[in-house]
Amino acid sequence: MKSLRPRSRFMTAFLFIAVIGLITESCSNNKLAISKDNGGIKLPEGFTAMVVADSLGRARHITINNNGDIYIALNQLKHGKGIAAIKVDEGGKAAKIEYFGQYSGTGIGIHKGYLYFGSDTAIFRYKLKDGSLLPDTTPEVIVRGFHLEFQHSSKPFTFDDAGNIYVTVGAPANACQQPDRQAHIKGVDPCPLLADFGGIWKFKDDVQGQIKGKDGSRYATGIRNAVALDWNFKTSTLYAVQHGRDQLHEFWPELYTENDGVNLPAEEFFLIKEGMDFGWPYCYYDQDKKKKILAPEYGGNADSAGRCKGKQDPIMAFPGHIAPNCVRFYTGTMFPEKYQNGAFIAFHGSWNRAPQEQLGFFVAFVPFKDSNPSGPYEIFADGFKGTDKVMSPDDALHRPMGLAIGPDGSLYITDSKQGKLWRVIYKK
Amino acid sequence: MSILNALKSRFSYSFVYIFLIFLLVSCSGQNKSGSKDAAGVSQTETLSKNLSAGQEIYKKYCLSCHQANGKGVSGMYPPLAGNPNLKLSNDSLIYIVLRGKAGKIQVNGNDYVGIMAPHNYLSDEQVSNVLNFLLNGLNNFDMQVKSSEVSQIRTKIK
Repeated sequence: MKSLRPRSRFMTAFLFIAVIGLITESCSNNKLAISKDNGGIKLPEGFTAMVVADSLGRARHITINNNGDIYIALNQLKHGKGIAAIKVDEGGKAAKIEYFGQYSGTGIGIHKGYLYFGSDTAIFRYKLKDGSLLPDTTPEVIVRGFHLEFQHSSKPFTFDDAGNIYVTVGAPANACQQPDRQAHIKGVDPCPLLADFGGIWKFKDDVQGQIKGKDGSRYATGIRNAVALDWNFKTSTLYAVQHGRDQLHEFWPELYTENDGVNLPAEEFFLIKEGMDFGWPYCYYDQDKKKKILAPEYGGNADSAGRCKGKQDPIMAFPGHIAPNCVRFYTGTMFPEKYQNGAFIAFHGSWNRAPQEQLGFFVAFVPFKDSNPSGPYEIFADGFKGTDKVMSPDDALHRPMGLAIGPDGSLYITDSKQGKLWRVIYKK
Repeated sequence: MSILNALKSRFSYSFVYIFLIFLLVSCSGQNKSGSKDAAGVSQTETLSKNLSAGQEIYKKYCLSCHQANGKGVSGMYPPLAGNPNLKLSNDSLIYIVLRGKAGKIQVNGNDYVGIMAPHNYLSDEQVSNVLNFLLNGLNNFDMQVKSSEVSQIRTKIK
């Protein structure tokens, strides 16, 4: 026993130092490799940012494990793989980047010890392994059978705490015209796409082999496409931000001026309860008139509501076409109180404001009290586009796409253009 | 507006290019009967006139997706400026305009997944004009699409 004493004393000292070290590290962000210029983005007073990695590929959504490992979905394969996995060093910079998974996609999230991933036609998952950046790379299929479509085909998803996964099934159309996207073509009435698309579907989060159309159920309808969706655990409610319909002026020039087509309709922020109908394709939301308007494809005159009375209004309306591609409620404690339980929304930037200037390309913050916004939205992170004016979206240097809250409360932002990854920190 | 100016300057560059060709043709090719149609109008002259007509069609029906500078939108709408696929054949270009296109394509190593509506409501001349604008206004591919070619393919589709 005596011989163990010096070792145990040594161990105690070691543990003591280790604990002090951990406390010191967790109490300061001094070790983080903060960029002097915040990696080229503008942030509110008190915030700063570092660049975790760059050139990751066409980044979409992002998720972060409790150990700090980062996983990013790519919508174009890189080195033949669809997911980027990143281990960071103590400065927060990427120390190891590995690619895996054979499909490209948008949705990604960690849940119950698995990494879930949404390709455009299936939701599957990989078992995470302790001590390994890469999970078990044999996928388990959770839901399959989503139609292969060529517009609004992303499958973003989120989880509740009652065993369910919610998946956006975007509508493969602009306004349910047949043929789609042509001038002066009426909408099909009733729109047959709504049976299979244009809503949020709910499935079991832990049951393998579910088939869309046979298993699960339509949770909400009349949602054209919501790449941004998130479960708010504080209020136990689903939220999503919709991409509004395109080309009002091009297809109905006698009703809508070029300016109308550029500004309308709103991108709508939805609070979603089971069974709600938000009105697509029959209706859109006019943020100036502050009401749902009957779509011209269904006989609307750019002003009357018609059958849209009773369709669910948004809880907030954003300018047209700026492409909300991710929403995350702030669940961390690092940021000041104002941000807690509020929503960050990444606006990817528009393409449908041509020939006028393209807008968006920023991350907005929406303050919340309980279930609803408690004030107007503000631009939280800006400067991604790297130029004064963007006339065509590809002129933007970066396009903010995915958001995640790290275990320490940092906000991570992905870029779909160059594959840059920022980590935003609040300086104490 | 700077993009429109760029487009205009690209257009005027092409115009100069075509004008030079026209000069070359008129200096050295006077006896080439193929360069003039029955009315005695040189094809290149017709083309340069039609480029502006093609640009108007482009602005009205193509610009909103493919953008003012013709560079398209990453991941969704492929570029038309600097897209070597346009050189494949006149027929394939005409088919795409008349029937539209859906699915995944690759241009210069980038994937694009999207949908283009059929534009079969455009006249043969409108289709050839807009294609000539893509080929010789947004690009300098030295190719020309005739409205008779559009007419032939339209019959095959029907």
